[in-house]
Amino acid sequence: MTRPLIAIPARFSATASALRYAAEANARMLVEAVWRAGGEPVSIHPSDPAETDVAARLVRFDGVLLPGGGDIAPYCYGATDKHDSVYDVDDLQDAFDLEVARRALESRLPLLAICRGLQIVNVALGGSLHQDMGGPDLEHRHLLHPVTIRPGTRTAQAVGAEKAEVSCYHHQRVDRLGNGLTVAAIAEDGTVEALELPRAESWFTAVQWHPEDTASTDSSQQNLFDTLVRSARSS
Amino acid sequence: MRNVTHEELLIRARELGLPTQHHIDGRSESGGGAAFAVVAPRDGQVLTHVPDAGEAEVDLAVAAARRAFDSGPWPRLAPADRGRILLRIAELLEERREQLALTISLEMGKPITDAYDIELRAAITTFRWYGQLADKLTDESPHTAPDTLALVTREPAGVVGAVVPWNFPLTLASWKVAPALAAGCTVVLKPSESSPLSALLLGRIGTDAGLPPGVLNVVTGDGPTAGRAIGLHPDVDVLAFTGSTAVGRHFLRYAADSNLKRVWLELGGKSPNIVLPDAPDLEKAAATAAWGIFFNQGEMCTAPSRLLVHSSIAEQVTDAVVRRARELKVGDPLDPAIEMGALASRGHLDRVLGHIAGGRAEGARLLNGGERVLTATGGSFLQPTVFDRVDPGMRLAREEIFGPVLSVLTFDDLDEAVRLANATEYGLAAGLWTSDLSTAHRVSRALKAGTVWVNCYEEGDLTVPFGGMKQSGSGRDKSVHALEKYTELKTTWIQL
Repeated sequence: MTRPLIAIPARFSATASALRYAAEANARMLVEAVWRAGGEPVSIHPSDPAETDVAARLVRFDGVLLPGGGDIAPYCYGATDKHDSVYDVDDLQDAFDLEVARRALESRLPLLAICRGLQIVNVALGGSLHQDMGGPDLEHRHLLHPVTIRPGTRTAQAVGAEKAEVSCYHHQRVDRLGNGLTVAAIAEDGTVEALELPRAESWFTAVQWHPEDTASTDSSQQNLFDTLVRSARSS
Repeated sequence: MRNVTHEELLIRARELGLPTQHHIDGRSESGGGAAFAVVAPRDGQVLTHVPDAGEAEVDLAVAAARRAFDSGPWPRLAPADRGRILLRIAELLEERREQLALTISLEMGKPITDAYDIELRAAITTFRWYGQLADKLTDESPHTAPDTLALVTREPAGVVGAVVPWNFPLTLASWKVAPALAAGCTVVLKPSESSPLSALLLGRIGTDAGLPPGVLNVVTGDGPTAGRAIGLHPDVDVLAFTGSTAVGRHFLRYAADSNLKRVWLELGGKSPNIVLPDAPDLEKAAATAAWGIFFNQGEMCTAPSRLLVHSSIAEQVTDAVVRRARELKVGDPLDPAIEMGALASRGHLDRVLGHIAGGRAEGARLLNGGERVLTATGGSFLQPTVFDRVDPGMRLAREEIFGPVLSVLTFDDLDEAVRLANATEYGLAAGLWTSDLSTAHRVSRALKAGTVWVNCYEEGDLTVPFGGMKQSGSGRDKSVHALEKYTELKTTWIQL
């Protein structure tokens, strides 16, 4: 069976061990999770949406995965200040990822958004972020922690449980919800851990954690990728 | 709310749409650009920002209320029609009960179950009660000489400025707004900076229920600017305030310096709770004493903060109170299983901790608590705190702490109990536990307090007035008597 094409916007990366100069990369565990799910993972170049028709570029794909990455420029969600901890901001990356989120939802392409990807969808729909969760004690970096998933949500269906132990790496989190988004999972400290869009006509789930980190050994996490690829196949 | 899990409430809290604008003249108003952050005391995080009103925004709100009173339909409606709209407000409060309870719990830290069961019930009942009362009032016609007719009528007093605190944001707003509206007044409501969100929602509900534009305006801002502007405003006819005695004095000065507006104050307290050896049930007396001081994190003007116990039963009663303090579940206000939430702000927590440190330095004995807890959450949580060996001269026994801090004092005879009870500048409330009918009446008469509870505490309903004597304030909220604050008596004498 032909593997459904899953577009994964590449991350601009200043260094990569195999290359002499700056790279466009995606995390190996992420790509492998899509592959295990039966998808054909395709990194796509973040082009300037002012000059290229991103919707047209997405037409050939069966699904989209918005991966993790650096922080979104705070002005994108209306902030006039910028917290000192905000890192790795790239205007072109932001512009492209935001456009991919909007176009994928509009085009009814199945979409899984991870970590920064969740934040991208939230901002794309008019939401905002807490620029910093308050330092090493409060942020979710190098953290394996439990989340509670709301029964009946797509996230709960995909993961197959209402509690999950998940791997996180982020220092920002959702503040104001974007239009139409609902919370599908939450951490003990109240951090929004998953978002859904009830009005979306295609499969869409956004998680603040990194399911790819544990997907090779935790089938509930692999199920998120499996569900993306299954939805991509039937779309 | 009891069958909803903590996690589900955390999620619903994240999905709340929180208001971010003034409610003036029936519309949302963004204000002049200045804003302040509303911080959730449960985790110290910013919930949202609301406008920080300057004089111009207060002017706008007062002008809207003035127009609505001078030329709008509200004061001229048949009382039954005003009543219907108040009843509709009660219905909408009921419909949006969960949203309002979550908002209150988030903005000021009280347990969600208290917000839902107690705060919202009070607000709903208040609007319903005054809605039902609106067309059941009568005026007077005294018996005068046969060739004369005297009419003594109550007329709406005009524009009411209502300035309310954060401890019961909707209850206390409702206690001002509902009778003022029933009387035919129009209102500018300024909630505390610590609890502006539920009040803004109330403003929106008023308009949704059919209040004409300008009848209920809500402006958010601080006391020194927005509160002062309302207090000094020449177009505000009545100022109704609940809050600290210090700020109450400001409002009296503002009135003196402006238009001599009527100022009604519901201020602080240091309420005594007297337990006599013949109390019908000492366990119940102790449990109620503990409940009373720890309910709402002790942030209550009527909190029974001085437990006066007869020396013969002091150990027994104190032990029972401390036991209860130790059992009390302190934690995230959004957890339906907890009994005490977070103090309203870090600043307030620090003030309460200052009182506790002062009490220790004065030589009172700390029996329980006294420390901040759950610090890792970023929230302002405090252990239920009990001191005994408190001397009547100590600051611990005299100053309002407005936190979960109980002072136990002992006495040897009834006269001493009454003397101790009244040895305060406040006179808001008092409790008394006795089986003797005669003692109950004699001591109740001797207590200088607006409310005396016998063999109970913090009980009552809308039929009875609430307010203080001495420096606890003037005028009464609740009951038919609240209307006295929002009406002026007019005598019409007709020679026939």
